[in-house]
Amino acid sequence: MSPFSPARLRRRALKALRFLLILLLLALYLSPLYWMISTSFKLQPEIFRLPPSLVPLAPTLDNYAAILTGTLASAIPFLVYLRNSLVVALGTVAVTLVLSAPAAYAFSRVPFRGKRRLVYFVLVSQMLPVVLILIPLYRMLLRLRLLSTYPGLILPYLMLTLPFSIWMLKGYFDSIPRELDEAAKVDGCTKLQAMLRVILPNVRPGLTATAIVTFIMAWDEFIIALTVMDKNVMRTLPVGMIQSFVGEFSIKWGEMMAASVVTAVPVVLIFIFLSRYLIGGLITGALKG
Amino acid sequence: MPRRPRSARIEEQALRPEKTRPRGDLSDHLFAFLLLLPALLAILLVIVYPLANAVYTSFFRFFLTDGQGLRFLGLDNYARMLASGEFWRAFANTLIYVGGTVLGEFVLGFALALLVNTRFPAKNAINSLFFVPWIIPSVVVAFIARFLFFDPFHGIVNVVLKALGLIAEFVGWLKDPALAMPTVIAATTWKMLPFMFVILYAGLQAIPTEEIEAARIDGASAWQRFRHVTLPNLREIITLATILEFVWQFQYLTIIFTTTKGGPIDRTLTLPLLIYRVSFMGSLNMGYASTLGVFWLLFLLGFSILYVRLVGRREA
Repeated sequence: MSPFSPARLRRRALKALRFLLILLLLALYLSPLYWMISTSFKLQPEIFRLPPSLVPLAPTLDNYAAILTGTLASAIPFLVYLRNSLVVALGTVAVTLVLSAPAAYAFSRVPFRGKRRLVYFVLVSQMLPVVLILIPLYRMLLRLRLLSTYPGLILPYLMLTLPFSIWMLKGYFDSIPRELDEAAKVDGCTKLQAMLRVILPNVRPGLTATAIVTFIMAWDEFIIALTVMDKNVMRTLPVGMIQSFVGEFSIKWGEMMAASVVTAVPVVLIFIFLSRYLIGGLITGALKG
Repeated sequence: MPRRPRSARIEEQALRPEKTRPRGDLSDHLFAFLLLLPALLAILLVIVYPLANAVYTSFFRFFLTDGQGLRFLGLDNYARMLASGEFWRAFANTLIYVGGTVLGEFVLGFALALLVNTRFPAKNAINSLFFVPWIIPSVVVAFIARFLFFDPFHGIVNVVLKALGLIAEFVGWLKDPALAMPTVIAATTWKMLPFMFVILYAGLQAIPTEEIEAARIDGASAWQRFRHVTLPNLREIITLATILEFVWQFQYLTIIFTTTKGGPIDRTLTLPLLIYRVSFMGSLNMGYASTLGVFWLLFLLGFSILYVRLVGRREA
């Protein structure tokens, strides 16, 4: 068959069309993000210009400078919210991993009675109404004087992250061949040594994936943070953002979009470098056990 | 009963883990117990105890701030809930919001997964870019939505639609009682769609190519291959992902909370939002709020059990 036969040409044209369609859809799908970034570099008059300018005509960093020193509605510099978000998200990741890795190992590797039931219990516990649980939890944190503290926010975040992490990590542990356990045993490792020295290093991708998902959950969370962090200086980015831009007479869209960019950048950076782990982890967490 | 040879018994014993552990090592039960203890204590503290407490509180009159403590009401809170028009409206709104979002995610995510299930340049990079909205924080999505759908004159959606001649007048997307719900559904779908996309795409990748080739050789059309090979292979994954998303979206209130706050005239008021409003804003009526939550708990329990059953079957 010659490379220029009609059938072949038609197939190639269809392929090219399909590729173009994919690119077009991608551009359309991500256009809101482009609009956010573009607007964050515009001043108010240009934002209200008709027809709107796709690329900023007079690009400016004023919006970023303004939010970094605090907005009208909230005099707190954004860097404070950024710091709070980082501390809470990293703290949540650390506590979640330390608690969930041993539990997932036990579910995957150690035989014990009642395991099945306990696994299902963990699975169901990620599907419970968060707002309902928050009501008594809020009173508990109030009594313990943990409102507006970092531990006071990390603790309730465990209800979101812990069951999912245990489940996800169990999937990774399950994928490690049993022969490794046998080999460790033959070499005279105790159970603890086998876990720490042989199996755990092999699930590093799983630990990375779990850390990323946990970080993204904590970074995104809004309603618990709104409830627990009642002092302005302790607020995380999502809550700080809302507080910064409510009740103003005219909405400062440029600053709002700059704040949005600042809030999105850390997770996007993580994603750029680690998307492979993240997507693999999500599929494992949702479908396997 | 015939006596088994001695060697077989020794082998059997050697296979038992208990007998082969190095001297001084932990037994399996103790080891499992120690590994699980911290996580289970945490789950007990932040999930089981508060949940039990909330169910208990739902039978009481309890306002956080009036200093009167708990007063037993029996089923009064439940009677009030069932007679409340606000509750039923919120429940119906939740079903519309969650149903609309999950349906939108599924249809668009599936179409996208089928579209990219072929070879093309820079495939990995492009697939990853399609995933980006999922990691964008909800509040950012809400801000972008407010900006895009901003009325009366300057929202880009209005400007583009008017330029294309699709609307005659500028529309107040988030302020119009009839349009607010579809608008928040669109924003939520935009953010959540990549999850369905990657799950379904992974499912498509796992279908053995021989099955599709065999169908092709048998002369099956593209639609027939989809209907009789692709769909049956994906059925289980579709069920699992849909249930999971349904239960998760039921929780999800950030985008609504930060765009419409349940308005206009309660058209986007969902159950989690109503519970939050009753328990933490205004009257702080935590007894009645708990009752609303218990209803939701019972409603979703069926879905959770179904999910656990399906996952259990995959495991076995």
